[in-house]
Amino acid sequence: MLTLKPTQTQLAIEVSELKKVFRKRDGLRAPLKEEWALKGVSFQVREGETYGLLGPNGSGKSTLIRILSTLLTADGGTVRMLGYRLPEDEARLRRKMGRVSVDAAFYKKLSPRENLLYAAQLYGLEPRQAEKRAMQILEQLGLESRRFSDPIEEMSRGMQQKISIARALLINPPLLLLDEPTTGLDPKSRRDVQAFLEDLRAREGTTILLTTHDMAEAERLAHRIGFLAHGRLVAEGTAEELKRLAGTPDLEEAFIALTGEELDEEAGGL
Amino acid sequence: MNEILMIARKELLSVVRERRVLFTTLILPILIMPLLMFGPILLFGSAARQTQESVQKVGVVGVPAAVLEQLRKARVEPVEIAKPQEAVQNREVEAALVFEKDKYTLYGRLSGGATQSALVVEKVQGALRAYKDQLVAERLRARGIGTEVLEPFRLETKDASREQERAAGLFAFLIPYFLVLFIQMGGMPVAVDATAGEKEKGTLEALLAAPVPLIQILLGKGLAVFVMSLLSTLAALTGLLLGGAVFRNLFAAQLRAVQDGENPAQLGGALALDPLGYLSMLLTGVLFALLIIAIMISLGLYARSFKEAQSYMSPLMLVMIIPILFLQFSDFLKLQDWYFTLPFINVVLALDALVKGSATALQLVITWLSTLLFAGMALYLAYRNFQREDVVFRN
Repeated sequence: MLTLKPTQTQLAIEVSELKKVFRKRDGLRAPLKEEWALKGVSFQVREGETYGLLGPNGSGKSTLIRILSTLLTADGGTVRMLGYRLPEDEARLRRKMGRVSVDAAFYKKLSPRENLLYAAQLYGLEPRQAEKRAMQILEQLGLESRRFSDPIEEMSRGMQQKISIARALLINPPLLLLDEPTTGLDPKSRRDVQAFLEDLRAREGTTILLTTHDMAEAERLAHRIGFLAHGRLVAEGTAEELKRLAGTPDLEEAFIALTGEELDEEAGGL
Repeated sequence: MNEILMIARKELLSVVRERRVLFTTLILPILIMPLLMFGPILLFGSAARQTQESVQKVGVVGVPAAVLEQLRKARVEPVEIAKPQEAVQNREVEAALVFEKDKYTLYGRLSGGATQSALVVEKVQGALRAYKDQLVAERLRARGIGTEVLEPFRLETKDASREQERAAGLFAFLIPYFLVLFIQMGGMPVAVDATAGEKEKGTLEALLAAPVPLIQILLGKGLAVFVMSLLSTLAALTGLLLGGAVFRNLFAAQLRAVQDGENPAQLGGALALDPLGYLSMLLTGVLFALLIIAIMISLGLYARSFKEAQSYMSPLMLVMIIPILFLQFSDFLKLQDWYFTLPFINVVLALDALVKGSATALQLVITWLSTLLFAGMALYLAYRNFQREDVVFRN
């Protein structure tokens, strides 16, 4: 079982009673419909800890990650990360967080080098320093340096996701938000990414919030796991604790037993 | 400022990599403008000349031999027919002439603009006029009166348009239209790519999560759209001016023929403004660009996808047809100064007045201030759209 070093006890993420509602109309005259994506979610992540969020499509994982990465404003509850409160301190927080989304979003006509330098400049990094760091991370992820100048659209999904992780790590963030980072990757790329995240955590002590569909990945990477269903955190604990709680030998069965739902393989959701 | 330039640079780089977009926004205007301006007139001119020179069949019923002779001189071939109206309708003949008692009736297909039949009708009319003049002259002579009695005075008509208007010529009203059209068309691919395109690719989230103020992101994207609009408009102007000059030289003979031997420069398609006029045109164009860019970014942000954004923006081009219709008949309207406060219409009116050299300082100032105001409002709307999560994350 994964354990944390005794010194790493400061809280990096404190989420309390987090709520988010989406309002929409089906037609011009139709009444406004409310859909609660998050119905009061609370959890804490310690510095250096990797926290895995497991949930099916529509459980609220992506909404949660979007709120934490300052893209959406919560309708209730509080969020404190690295000592900063949201939304008041969002400008300062943005400089300390890296985010990887499920779809490895890039400017496809540009090369990995150009994409990374653009991201680095948005974060105020000096271009030469950014380039050096980007090359270093890409090499660590197993990307051949001769491909750094090819257009991203010519690269495989696995390669694109590696570059996406490199982009999130450019600013050397103490906090990393990973929204299904290995969904859709081939087994080799998946293992590469997982090994890299383990190495990163060991070297830099980075705090990681990870959403995933992959039980094995959650068990391998996460110190603790939270089960999210219908906008609520149904259970949390180490993989062992959750299995014990559900009385099942594996995590997937524990998930089904505790949430009453099955995890689906497709990416996406609220 | 650095961030604005950086974002603009990235947007432009993405577009420069798309050869298709580069071709349609920068190369195509240079090639297409001269064709658009001079093509139809050359084509129609040469068709009209051919009609003039070749011999067409004209149906005749009861027409005297002297008139038939005149018709042959006017290069038409009279053929006897039974049903003149039907023969013309079925295009068996281009026109038909019927003589009853002392009256000639001439049939032709005269609806639908420039028809070949209309040109043949003109030929027949000319032949009949010549025959009538001949008869009148003979009768006057028989009574011992000279033909000068028919012309007690001479009439000469002279073109008193301004030099600028003469330079722009027949196409004067088209120049403002093409200017606003290319400002919009040139900017559209970047505007779509920088908004709905980023949404579709998923890159907008990464950009909005970066520590860059929203207003700088908006201005960076706006700057990129502006640069492409400007380049595309310059390309169109180059096409118009350079192409106009080339066409006038290459097809001088044909153009002269179309113009009945007059100077081909009469066809226009050239600009002859003073430096202040050019500067005023530039300022009007820039302010219009700001307005249309802010509107396009607002629409693009609202759209869920690339295709949706295009379908929102394309009708804007149709909207621009309204001022051009207005402009075609502007000479019949007494231009009120308040017309220059109407969005879109004011820009087209001001550009038209500048091209013709008739713009007053008050009209220009009203146009600039009102366009600036509308651009500011549209920019604020775009900024608000950027702030609204129900717009940015609309799906």
